[in-house]
Amino acid sequence: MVEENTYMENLILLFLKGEAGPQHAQEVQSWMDENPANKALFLEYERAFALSHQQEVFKAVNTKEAWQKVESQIQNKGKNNLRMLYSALAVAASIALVFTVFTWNNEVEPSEIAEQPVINDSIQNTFSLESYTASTEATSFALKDNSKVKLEPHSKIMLNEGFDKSNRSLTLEGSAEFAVEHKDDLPFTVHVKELKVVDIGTVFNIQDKGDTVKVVVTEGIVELKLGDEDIRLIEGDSAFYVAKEALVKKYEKVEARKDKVFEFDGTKLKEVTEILSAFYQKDIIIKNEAIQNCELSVTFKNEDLATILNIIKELMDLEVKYNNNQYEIYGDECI
Amino acid sequence: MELVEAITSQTLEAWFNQYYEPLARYAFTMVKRQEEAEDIVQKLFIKLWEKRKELEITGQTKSYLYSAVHNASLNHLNSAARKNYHREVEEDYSLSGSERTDSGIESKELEQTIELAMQTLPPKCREVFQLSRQERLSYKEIADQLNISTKTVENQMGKALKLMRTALQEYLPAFIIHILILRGW
Repeated sequence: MVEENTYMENLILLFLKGEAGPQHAQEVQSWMDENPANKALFLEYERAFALSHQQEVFKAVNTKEAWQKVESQIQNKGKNNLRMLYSALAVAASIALVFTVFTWNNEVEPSEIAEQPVINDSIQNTFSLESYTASTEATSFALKDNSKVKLEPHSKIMLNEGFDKSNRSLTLEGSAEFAVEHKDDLPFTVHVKELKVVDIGTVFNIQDKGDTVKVVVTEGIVELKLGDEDIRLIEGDSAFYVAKEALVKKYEKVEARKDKVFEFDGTKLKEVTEILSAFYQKDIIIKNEAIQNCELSVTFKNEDLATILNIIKELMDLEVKYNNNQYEIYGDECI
Repeated sequence: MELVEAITSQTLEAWFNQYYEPLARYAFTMVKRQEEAEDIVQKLFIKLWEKRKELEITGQTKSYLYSAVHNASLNHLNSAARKNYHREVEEDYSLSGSERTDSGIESKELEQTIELAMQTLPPKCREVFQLSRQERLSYKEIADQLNISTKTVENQMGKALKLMRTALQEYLPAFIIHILILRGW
């Protein structure tokens, strides 16, 4: 009994000192709620602590008044959100209108290639290399292997000799989007500057901007090859090749993953971090073994990685740090 | 009680009524200022409402709320603008002390009573309590400074507060009444 009292008194002091974790704080509150005698004892300690530590004592709150403040904020935010939604819809409508006009003028089905402003240089090319150049407008057409290309204005592609027979390699100058059917024996490869972009069944866009080349993967998977370096991009990823530095920087395009839902139901933290790490292409390290098997039940919709980790931190009473381009998770125990 | 898929304004209000005071008390232990503690809890509920569609949590509502308050309070303390936080809290207390004299309770007398109570503590216990009271050190900081375990600090602090509670017994009701008067209740 004495031990039990000492335990609770120590816990109360830990709480009053401001060092109690969520679990201990709940334990103190539950004990206080058990009976009026416990509550009275707690209040005595609370007052003695405040008095001896020269600080305010906690006073009874006015819950009704506080709720009114919260309620009015919630209602105001609701109105603002609605206003923002209307603005967003208006902007979206304008963009949609512009886009429709643009595509109506420029998008062309492969069957209409002949009518497109594409100059087939093959006849003039001494080495019989087939090439296509877009004039002042973006143009869409199909290659021999049925890959679809949308060539941006003033851009050019040159097909390697034996294209669609011994290889499917081409060289790009400028910017283009490719929708490619994957063939194991004949990988579709785009050479742009020193960079080699190899499709693994995909739709991707390449923009040569002089100093940099940007590659965006809309569907499927693409491999970038720069010397001995291989970089894999999955749907939604993008990468920049910086010619001056001869290196590739990879980025995840969050918007492409906006509909992603993660459902964890009693999932171990270790597994949660592995899933998130693989998806967001970001290292997430659990620094304390004690929390690896803590279970999490939560669903995330349309959240970015930082938000997800922040919510996990709050739910599981953990600490999350971002160091050296990776997330680190710290914690003492499962709550 | 569990956080369910659809958080309605009624469920939010019910949780608020049930948990507002305990959560504000918990936040207060960390931030040491009532207004800021209450603000943290109110903001948490506003955030909960804003995120209600994205956030579906299966688990104890209470645990979630306590964890959220814990983190929000620590973040509040860790913000760059909070470097002189403890000093500001002491200044608040000093200000209320000058008002205390006006209301008929001598702050010097109170201080003397605390000093006398401190003298009744065993030396080690007093040393630990002094570091907590005057230097505002955490258990770990006290343990590191005195080269003892945090468990020992915890036990010494427990003993000290128990003795302090007894020594200040007569003073406590007046102190509480004074605080209530100051706050206009």
